Amino acid sequence: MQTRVQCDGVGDTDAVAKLPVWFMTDAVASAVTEAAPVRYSRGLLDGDKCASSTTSIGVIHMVPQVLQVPINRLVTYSLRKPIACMVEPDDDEWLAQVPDIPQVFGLGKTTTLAVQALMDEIESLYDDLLESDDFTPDWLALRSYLKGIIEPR
Amino acid sequence: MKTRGFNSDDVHRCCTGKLKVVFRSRKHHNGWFRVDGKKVCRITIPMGHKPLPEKTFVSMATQLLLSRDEMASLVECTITRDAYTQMVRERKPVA
Repeated sequence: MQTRVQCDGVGDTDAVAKLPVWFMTDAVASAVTEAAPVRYSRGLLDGDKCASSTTSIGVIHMVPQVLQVPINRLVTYSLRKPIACMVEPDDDEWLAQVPDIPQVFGLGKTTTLAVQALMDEIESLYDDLLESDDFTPDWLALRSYLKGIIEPR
Repeated sequence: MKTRGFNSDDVHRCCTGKLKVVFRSRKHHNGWFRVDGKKVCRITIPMGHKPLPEKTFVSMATQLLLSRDEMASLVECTITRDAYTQMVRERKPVA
């Protein structure tokens, strides 16, 4: 994920850094699978000092952006492949959404809670779709898609 | 038209009263809007009583196949159930 940061370092006032999706907090990582490749024990946070390859040390000021967080499991179901989740600020809360499944979202006070709410929403939708067949064709198509990626634990 | 400041209760009241949606609760409230006996739209309403954040309100509108302004009209009761049902029929194949 490419995240835009502003760096107060001398000669480097508008740096663009490539950071892993785990740069925010350990809490975000804990919302996804244990198998997720956490590369930083504690990610870069607003106010942290940083250095680029070309300039001296500066202070990071994170510009609110959309974060990409892979979901590798649901609450009680497993996933055959990760679901790409986007988390973005929404007033004083966080909104988590899945581009592949625009019918669901999760809202939470923190990124972790938003992702957890989204995981619960996906599972709740899947359970709903398995209950009966009285859905419009697009929902039945979504059910087929979800059946392909969700499996019992 | 009020475009900000709706809270979960406003939307919940509209969905249950006007659209006859029956909700279940997990982390959020979920319910289906039916047309001709088919489940057409699934609305998610976050818990809580605070005003809904803007992007969340738009996401909820999208779930109901509405723009933000149409959603505001629906909640403010200037769109009737029949009018909303007609809008849904025009925007999504039901059969």
